[in-house]
Amino acid sequence: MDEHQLLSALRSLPTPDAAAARARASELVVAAHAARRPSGRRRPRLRGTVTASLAAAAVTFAAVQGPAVASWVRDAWRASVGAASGPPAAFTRLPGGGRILVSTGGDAWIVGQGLRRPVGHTTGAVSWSAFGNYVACACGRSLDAVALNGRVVWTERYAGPVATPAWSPDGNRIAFTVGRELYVSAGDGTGARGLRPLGADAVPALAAWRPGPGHELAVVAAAGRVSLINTDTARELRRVPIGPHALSLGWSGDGQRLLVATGHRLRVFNADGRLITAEQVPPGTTITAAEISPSGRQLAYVTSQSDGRQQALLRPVADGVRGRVLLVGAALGDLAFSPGGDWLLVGWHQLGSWMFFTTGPGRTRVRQITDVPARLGHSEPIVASWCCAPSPPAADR
Amino acid sequence: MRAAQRGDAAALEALFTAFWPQCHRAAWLITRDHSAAEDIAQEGFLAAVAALDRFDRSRRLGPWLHTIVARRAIDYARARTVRREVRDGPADSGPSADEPQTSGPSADLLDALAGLHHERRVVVVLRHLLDLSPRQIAEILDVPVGTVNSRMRRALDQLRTDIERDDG
Repeated sequence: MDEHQLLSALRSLPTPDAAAARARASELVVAAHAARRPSGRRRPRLRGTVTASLAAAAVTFAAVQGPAVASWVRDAWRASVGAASGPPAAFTRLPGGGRILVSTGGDAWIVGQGLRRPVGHTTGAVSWSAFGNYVACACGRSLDAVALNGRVVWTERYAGPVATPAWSPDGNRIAFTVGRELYVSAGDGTGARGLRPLGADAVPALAAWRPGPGHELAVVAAAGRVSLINTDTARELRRVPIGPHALSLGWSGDGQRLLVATGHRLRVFNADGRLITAEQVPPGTTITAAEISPSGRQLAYVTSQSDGRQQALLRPVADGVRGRVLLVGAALGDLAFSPGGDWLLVGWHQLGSWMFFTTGPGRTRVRQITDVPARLGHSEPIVASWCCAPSPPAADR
Repeated sequence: MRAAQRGDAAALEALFTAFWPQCHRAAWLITRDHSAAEDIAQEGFLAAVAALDRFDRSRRLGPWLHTIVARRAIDYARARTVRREVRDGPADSGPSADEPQTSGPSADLLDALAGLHHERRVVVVLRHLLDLSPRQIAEILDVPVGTVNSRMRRALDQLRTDIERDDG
């Protein structure tokens, strides 16, 4: 083969997934080009709140007008976000850095830091390891630890269905459920033991390791209360009543603040179980997602009204402070703070997008990653978590 | 180029159409990971769009864009090797799972390229697919031009041998 033949052959080699990849890239590049400011012209600055309002109006309009208009809305939203915030984000370079673990109803994917790949199968939620080098996947009756290249590092099998694994912040423990019992194993999957049976009204998905030196797990082991359990001794350290409809548990990065969200209330407790702040949403409104920032100083949450309209809000952990509306729309879902707490991801299923908002003071910057379902091959991918902090979380103001 | 800098969407799309296939293909041949290749090529174009106003029109767009994509693909391949903390197998061991289904000369060439050592395959892709000069390749890889030429010579010899063996 001479060099001319090689050149010709190389240029005609088929590339996997070429047409779809080209279509996705074309859309993104054209959007980025449309969003830039051509030389010699200046566009007026739009504030993030204006952008959100545009989106709100557009989405409400679309809901009334149907799919044809929804397509227009998508374009309008893209244009407005672009104008307000600069080019859209590339899929694997997340604003805020790090990488996101996504569950797609059968597979776990990692996205970010130049990666976008399936890492394992799951039927019951996924969890990052402490430093994001492995993923714990509950799959049927087994718990798998999977490396980032998809290699299963170890598998432990159980008598019942395994679900909701949660890897402790020091990497040395994994909590999960087997049927209706809470289990804890060592970080290498060995030494698993049943910690306590879960009540019929427990919420097994709600278990959150407290960052810190011990192995303390906050869990909704029975309806209406959160228990803080030392998993090494199986002793219940504290019990906090929370009322019905538990929705979300989360610790601040220093383990000093615990967010407990129910359908109608957000509450933040300190490490001693004392209430720091509480907010109750108005009648007819429910909370559908909530997260606490790594610094423990901000809360993000999604509210839903009876007509289906939703809002994503951000507020400081302080009494009497109203939340800042980031986004108004429908089918808002996942929330996740970046490892440093300076960006917030809001999943917007209606547009198949991940929206990213800065969380600091001043002008809210917005980034959008589009066509997430197409890129992950699933209609509603679920963001499990976003890791990993390169250093202790920065104060997110 | 001038029209794209002024904001002409059609001009930008024409540039995309002209350069995307080679960039995407090159990224895939270097990384052997089709998801990564798409992202790398995509990021290359986004970087190019972001820098459009600063681009010196006396230069050729192709080599500039190709260099961006090549650097990113090589960085990705290197990072994958470094990411051994997860106890990967060899980062570049044999054909990847997402090779397209091909037969005939394309399949032979793909097999032969897959059999090349990563450093040699990169040189072949940069020289013969992205049309970069040995000097440009040397700058990207941070090696002497002579090293580029020797890798190229050995790569072509090995490709020729492997393809002839398959044909025979």
